[in-house]
Amino acid sequence: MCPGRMSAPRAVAALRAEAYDMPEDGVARERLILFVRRLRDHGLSISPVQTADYLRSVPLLAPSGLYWAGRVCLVTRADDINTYRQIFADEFGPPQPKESSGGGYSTGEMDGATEREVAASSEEGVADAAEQLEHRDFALLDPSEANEVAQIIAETRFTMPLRRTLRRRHSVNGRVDLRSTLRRELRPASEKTPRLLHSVRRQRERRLVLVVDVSRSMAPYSRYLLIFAHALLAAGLPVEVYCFSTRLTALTDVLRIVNVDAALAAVAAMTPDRDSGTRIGAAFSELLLDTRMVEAVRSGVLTIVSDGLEQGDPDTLRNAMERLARLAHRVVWVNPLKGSQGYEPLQRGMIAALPYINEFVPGHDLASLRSLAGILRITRD
Amino acid sequence: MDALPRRAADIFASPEVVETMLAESGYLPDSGLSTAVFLALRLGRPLLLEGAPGVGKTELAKRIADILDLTLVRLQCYEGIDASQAIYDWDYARQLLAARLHGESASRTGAIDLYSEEFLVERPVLRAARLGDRALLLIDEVDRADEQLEAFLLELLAEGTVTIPELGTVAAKRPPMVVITSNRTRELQDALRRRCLYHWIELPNLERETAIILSHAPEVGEGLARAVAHATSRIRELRLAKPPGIAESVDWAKALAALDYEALGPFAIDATVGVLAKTVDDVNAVLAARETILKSDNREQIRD
Repeated sequence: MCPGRMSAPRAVAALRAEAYDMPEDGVARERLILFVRRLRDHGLSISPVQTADYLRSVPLLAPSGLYWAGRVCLVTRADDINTYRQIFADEFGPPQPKESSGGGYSTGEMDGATEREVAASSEEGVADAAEQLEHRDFALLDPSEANEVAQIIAETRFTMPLRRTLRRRHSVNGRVDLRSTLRRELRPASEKTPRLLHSVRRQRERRLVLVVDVSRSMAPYSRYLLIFAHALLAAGLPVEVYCFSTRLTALTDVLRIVNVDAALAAVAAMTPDRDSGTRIGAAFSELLLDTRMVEAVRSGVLTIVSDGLEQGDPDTLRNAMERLARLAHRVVWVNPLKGSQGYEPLQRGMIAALPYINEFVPGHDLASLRSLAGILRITRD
Repeated sequence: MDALPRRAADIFASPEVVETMLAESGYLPDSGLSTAVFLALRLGRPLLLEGAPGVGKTELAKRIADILDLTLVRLQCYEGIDASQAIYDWDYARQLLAARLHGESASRTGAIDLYSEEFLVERPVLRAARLGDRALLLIDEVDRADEQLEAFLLELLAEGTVTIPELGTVAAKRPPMVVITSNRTRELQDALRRRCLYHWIELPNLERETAIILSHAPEVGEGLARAVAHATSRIRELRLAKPPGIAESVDWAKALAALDYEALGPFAIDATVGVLAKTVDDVNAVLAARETILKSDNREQIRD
């Protein structure tokens, strides 16, 4: 046993002091504690109580139950199962009996977010230029303008549209609130005429799901929409961000990196399919297969950013859009091409998707991003 | 920690016993699941079950209650459920009435306690806490409820008790067994996860699914059961909007038997596809893949 690992956390050390019945031939308790420690090092969050449960469980089971004791006591989410399996195999050898892999749950491990040196931004905006910048197509920005636009987006203050929640608050109308009526009735010396009090549901922020196309044709625009997404997240709003070109990637976590450039670099590192072709339908079908993503879309505002240049089967896209429209509260499609004059939604993908869209807006310059924010009702007055 | 439901834990003396007893009742667990059930009882911890819909999470709780002769107290979660529907509530109408009546005769009776047992309305969680180890509390599809509800459940999960501020803490000698199921439509909070033993129920492999079909539908021949299990596992690979669970494969086998099919063929699938696939798109996808479903099935059988 390597001495470096011997200092288990204090809480665990305290537990060790308690007496546990260990069979002579069982795995030494020390080793189990070190195993727990290793799991923690790999990101599993395991409480001292769970550790105690684990230590109690192992002697209750046959040696072949060692694998399951930890699986049941220490692993609390499906995403951690693979990590547990690997570390267990490394520590104790392959589990026996082998775990069936029927359903084939697999975790997509993503890493390798490289941080890039951040270019110092220069501020050279003149007052007149600000007006022009509003309507300058993102594809035509020079580097200093690009920085400025990024900054303007980042500095915009956002709030979220609202939805009803469970919680109720007092109101002059709404459902009769018997609880408060009773309280009022019981107040001493209440000579006032009895009356019913009412309550209505409180409101909460509605979730926004942003799905950004990062394929080659979208390259000049997707950057600014990701900055837009970054600003929404930085404002602490309930936003989920995904991007796609041929495959779907969840970006919410990386976009939480505080520095915009570092966040964008991390996005680039985890989207190897970036700047390749577009399979919108396939990406959306993938989204619909993940129950958590479906739940994020459910009764939220789904905002899709894409030029609709679909290379896959438009039927796949149509089917996916149909289901997404049923799930979401509202579907907004942002198409930068719509900003150019004489644009008609003639692309196969766009034609397939149009019937399911509530709002179809451009997103090629600052002004159009502002109006998008207005449509999403996320700008603070 | 010593408050173990002793009787139940004595019956389920080892994971093997759990497996055997469940199998006798017609539920076929794998060794992971039976270990989880055994430990949940032995350690007195709630058992959190996740897995694809239709994999038998709720059914397991019912079977355990049946075998151990526990009262099954079921809390079906839904969007909008709150503490007054899940744990306990006060009967406000009666309280108001009592207060009004009392007001008129105050001089004679003195103070009245409006927050007493008399006006308490019992909901599933409180009921289970009172019954203690004579109950199995099934918190079904907890992911449908709002996150706020999870916080209300924590006390019961950790201590097996329910505290009513106006009355005090309700605790049985031994806490009830608790089984929580989730379809993983949203992420549960860590606070809840930490208090539970966790098991992810996999879809069964071919052998187990065949056995499950046979035990639920004895009228189905073994050959047909096996073919159905094969075909169902192929269909699950089709990426349907609603992939068939175990209930569907059992129903499918029953449907085929009811129609006197002795083997799977294109016509048999045509006739019974509605048992398996529950949306128009899925039905079309299954019918389109009919050949593959059957072909791969034959190949497997030859290999066997």
